Amino acid sequence: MFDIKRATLTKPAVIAILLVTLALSGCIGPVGWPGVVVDGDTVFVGSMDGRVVRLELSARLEDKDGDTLSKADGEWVWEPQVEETGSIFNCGASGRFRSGQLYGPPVVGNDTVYIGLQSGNVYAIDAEYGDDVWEEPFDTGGTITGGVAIADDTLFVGSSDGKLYAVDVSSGRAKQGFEPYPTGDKIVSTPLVQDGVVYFGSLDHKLYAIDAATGELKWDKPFKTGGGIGSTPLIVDNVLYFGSFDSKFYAVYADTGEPKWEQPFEAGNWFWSEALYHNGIIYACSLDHNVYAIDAESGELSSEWHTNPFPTVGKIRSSPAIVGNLLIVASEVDKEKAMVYGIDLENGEEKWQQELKSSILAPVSAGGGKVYVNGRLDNTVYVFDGETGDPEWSFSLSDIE
Amino acid sequence: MPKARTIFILLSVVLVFLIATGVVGMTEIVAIFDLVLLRPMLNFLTLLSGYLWGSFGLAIVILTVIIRLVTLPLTQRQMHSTRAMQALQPKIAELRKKYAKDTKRLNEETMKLYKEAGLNPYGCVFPMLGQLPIWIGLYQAVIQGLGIAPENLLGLSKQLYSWAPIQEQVPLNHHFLWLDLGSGDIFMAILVAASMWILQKMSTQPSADPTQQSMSRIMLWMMPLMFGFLALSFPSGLSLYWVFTNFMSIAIAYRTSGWGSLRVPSLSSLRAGRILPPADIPQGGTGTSGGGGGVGDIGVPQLEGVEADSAASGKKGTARADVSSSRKKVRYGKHRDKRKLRRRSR
Repeated sequence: MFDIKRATLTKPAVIAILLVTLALSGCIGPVGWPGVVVDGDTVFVGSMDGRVVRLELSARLEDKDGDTLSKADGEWVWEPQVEETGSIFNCGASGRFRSGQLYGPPVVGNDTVYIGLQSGNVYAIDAEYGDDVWEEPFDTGGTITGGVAIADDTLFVGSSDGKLYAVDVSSGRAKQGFEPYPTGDKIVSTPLVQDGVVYFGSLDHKLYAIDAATGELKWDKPFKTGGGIGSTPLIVDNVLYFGSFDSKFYAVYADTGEPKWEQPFEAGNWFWSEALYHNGIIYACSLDHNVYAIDAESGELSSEWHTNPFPTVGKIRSSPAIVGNLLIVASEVDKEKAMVYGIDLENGEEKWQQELKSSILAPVSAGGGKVYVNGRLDNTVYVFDGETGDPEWSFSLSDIE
Repeated sequence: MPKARTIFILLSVVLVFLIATGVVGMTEIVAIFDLVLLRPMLNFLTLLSGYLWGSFGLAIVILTVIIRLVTLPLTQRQMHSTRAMQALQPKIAELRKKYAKDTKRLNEETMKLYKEAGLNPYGCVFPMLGQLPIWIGLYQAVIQGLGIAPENLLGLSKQLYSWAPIQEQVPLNHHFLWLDLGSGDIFMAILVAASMWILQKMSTQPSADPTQQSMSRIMLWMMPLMFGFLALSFPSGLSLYWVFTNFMSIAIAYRTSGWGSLRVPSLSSLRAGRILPPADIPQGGTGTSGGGGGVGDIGVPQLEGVEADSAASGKKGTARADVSSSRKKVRYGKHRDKRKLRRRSR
C-alpha cells in the first residue's frame, strides 16, 4: 500500500544506502603478509596485528594441541609504537591506517632481528630478549613492503619513496658515505647483497646493481624490463634470475647487466616471488597459478618436468622453499583458502598437498625438515612435515598475551 | 524506457531468486561484476593513461567525462521526470489540505493522482540503481588502479588484461598536477564540497511544506560536508572523479533549468520586497531535484524524482497536460525567454 510518508523517507534511506555502498565498496587497505624466519631452534614470525613473536620449537612441540597459548620460557612478543591513523571508514589512502602492518619477513643477524614496517620504519630487536636495540627506529620516509637484507655491518632496505637505504646495524643510523639510491618508482622487493654489490628491482621496471659501500651504479645502466619488479633476484654462478610484472622471467649476468637468454621466459601473469635453483633448473612461481621449471642455461621449460608447468589452484606470491627433494609451494585461492604443495623436484609430480582455511602470501620457510607458513586470515603459523605434508602443529598469534 | 525498467526489475528478481536459492553466491556476483564492469573500466583507464603521457589523473578525468556523456540520456530523463513530478505538487498540496486528518484517504488519493498522471513515486529508484554499478565500478577502478596498498597492486595482476600496452603502464603514475592521487588532499576536499553545494543549491526547489524545507536544508549542507570529509580521507584520485562529475552535473543542470535556486534575485524583485521563484520551476516543489549524475546524483537529484511513465507510454490523464507543459518549460523555457527578450530589444 502506498504511503506518502514512506515515499518521502525513501530518499534519505536510499542516499544512506548508496553512501555506505560507495564508501565500503573500495575498502581495500593495507593488511599485510608477514613472514616466518627459522633460526635453529627458534622461529621469529610477524603477526597480522603488527607484532614480532619469538617461538621456541621445543615449547611448541610439547604443546602440539595448542592448549597453552601463553608464552613459554624464552618466548617473547614485541610490539612497535605505531600510529593509529585510521579514518572512520578505515580505507583509501595509505598513512590513514594503523601504520604497523608487516609485509617483509623478519631477518636475523648479529643476534638481532630486523624488520621493516608499513610505517616506513626499520626496527632492530634483540633476538634473545625482544628489546629494542636502537635508540629509535630508522625512518625511510616511505612505506616498506619488501624485506631487509644484511651484509656485514650494513642493512639495506627499499622504500616506497623509491630509494634504497643503507643503515648502520650498530647505530641504526644512515650509513656514512652511502647516499640513498634513488629509482623512478616504489621499491617493493627485498634487496639481494652478494660480494659487495646490492641487487634490487624497482617498480620503475628496472633492476639495479649498486656498490654496497658507495651506492654507485655498477653497470653502465640498469637492466630494463617491460614491467615493475617486485621479486628478489636469485644469483647463481654470476647470473641473476628474476621475474617481472611484464609476466616475463629474466636471466642477467651479474657483472655486466647483459641478458643471458636470447628471449626471456614468458608466463601468463606477473612474477612476484623469489625463484629457487636446484641442479641446473630454476623454479619460478607466477601469479598465473603455475610453477615453472626453467632450464637455467637455455631459459626454456625443463625436460625434467616434461616441459610442463605444475598447475596450482590459485595465484602464487609466496616464494617457495626446498625441503629434501621436494619443492614446497603455497598457492592462494582467495582470502579464505590456500593450498600448500609438496612437488617432486625431479619430475614435477605432486607428493602431497594441504588445504588451509586462510590465505598465504608471505614466503614459505623451511628448517629442520619442517615447512612453516603464516596464514593471513586466522593469523596463525602452520607447521608441516616437509616430506609427508603431515601437520605438525599450529599456533594462533592472535591469542597470545 | 518502461521496457528497460521492466527488464531491470526482471533481472533483479532473477538475481534475488538465484541468491536466495543458493545457486549464485556473493563470490559469483563479485566475479560477474569484475568481469563485466570493473575489468573493462580499469583496463580502459590504464590504457588511456598510456595515451595521455602516462597521466592516470588525466585518464580519470577523461573517463569520468565519457561515462557522464554515456549516461546522459538516463540523467536527463530522470531530471525531466522529477520536474514532471513537481508539476503535480500543487495538487498534492491541495490533497494534503483536504485530507489532513485522514492519512489513509490522503495516501489513496495521492496514489490515484500519480496513477492518473502515469507516474510512479518509487520509479526513480530503478534508473538510479541501474547507474549505481557504473559508479561503483569507476570508484573501484580508481582505488585498484592506484595500487595504494600492496594488496591493491596484487589485485591489479588479476584485473589487468595481459596486453603489453596495458601491462607496461603498471605501476600507474599517481602524480597529477599538485596531487598525489593516492593520498587525501585538503584543496580537493574543499572543491568536492563546494561543487556539491552548488549542485545541491541549483537543484533545491522552493517548497511550502516545512518538513520538505527542513529536509532540503539538511541535504544542502549534509551532503557536501559528508563528501568533503570523505574526500579528505580517500585518495585524491577519487576526489578528482567526484569534482569532475559534479562539474558536469552542474553543466547539465544549467543546460536544463538554469541556475535554479542559485540564481541571485533580481533588483526589481528585491525592491518590491519579494523573491520570485525561478520562472521555469513549478511552484510547491518538494525539496531537491534535478542535477543528475555522479556524486550529485547520489546526493540528490533523481531520488526525489519520480519516473514519468506517461512520457513514454503516451497515456492520457488529468495531470498529463500539466506534466508535459512543465517538461516543455524545463527543456525550452530558459532559451524561449531569451528569444523573447531578443525580439523585444529589436
